[in-house]
Amino acid sequence: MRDGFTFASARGRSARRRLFIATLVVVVVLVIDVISGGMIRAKLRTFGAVLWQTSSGIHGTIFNSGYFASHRALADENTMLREQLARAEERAAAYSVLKDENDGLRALEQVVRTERGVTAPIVSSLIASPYGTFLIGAGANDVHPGDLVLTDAGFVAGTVSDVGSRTSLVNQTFAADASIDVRIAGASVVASGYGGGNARAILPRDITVKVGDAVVAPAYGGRAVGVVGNVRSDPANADQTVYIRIPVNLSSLRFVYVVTP
Amino acid sequence: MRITIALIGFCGALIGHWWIPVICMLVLAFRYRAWEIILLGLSIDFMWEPAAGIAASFPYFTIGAIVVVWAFEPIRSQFLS
Repeated sequence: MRDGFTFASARGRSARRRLFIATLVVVVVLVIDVISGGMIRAKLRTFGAVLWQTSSGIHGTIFNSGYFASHRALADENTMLREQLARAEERAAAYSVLKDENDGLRALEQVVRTERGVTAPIVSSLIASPYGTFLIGAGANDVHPGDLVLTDAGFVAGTVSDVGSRTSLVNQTFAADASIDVRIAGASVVASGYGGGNARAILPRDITVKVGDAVVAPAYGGRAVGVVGNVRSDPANADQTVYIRIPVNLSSLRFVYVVTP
Repeated sequence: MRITIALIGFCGALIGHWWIPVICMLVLAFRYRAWEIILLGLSIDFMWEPAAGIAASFPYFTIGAIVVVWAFEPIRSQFLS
């Protein structure tokens, strides 16, 4: 009994020592990564991107093999219809944004300049990150920190944050706890993101806001970051809450356009 | 079992939803004196957190993992002794 107790205690001490060493090692790795400008995390992201692409390929092979044909056909049709709906909404919203932009351009007599950029594939899941980030397959030769990342309809999905050799990390515009200055119906307000391409803003109630109104960000050169998805107004309150969303299913995106200066 | 949970957590950190490694970390912390928990926390931060300097980007999951590992130690001691 006493021997057993001694053995268990010794094993516990050894395990605790390993935990303590692991803690120290992790702290050292963190410090090295910070000193090296994120070199270790860049390597891990490249590995993660390869793993994600491989797993996507395997997933596609299995579910397109015909083995799960009946379920798969229904699921595919459902996904296709959802994507069609999302694209129709996106086109309608993009039209509204273009119309507003056109009106603004006519009023200000500005000249639209063509901007350079690169098309980059999305190489990670858009729901995987707790920090509202995702990976794109463009590295230091193509993009730079701060570059804008656009959807195919021209909405700003985010900005490039970290640039690795082959992949880059993108901060989503409406990541949870992120806030950004936007203009809605001519009023400047702060939109608070809460993830998944959604945000919320508080406006005075006397400003007329309609569902589908464009939401633009002056910090991003007046580009659209979303549209008004819903407006909640309480007669007892002087303010109204405007719910903003990016009119595209971010998870269905395969490519983004990175505007380079 | 311990290695399987750690692998699931690691794959979840890289390609799955971030809840997967969190659940794996809690299960591991409750049952084992597992140093893998801290690596899982570090993996999530390295994979997804912008490296805008340690002051700007606090490594929440790494610190959380260290706290969980050591906070569960008294409970584990009761179960494992």
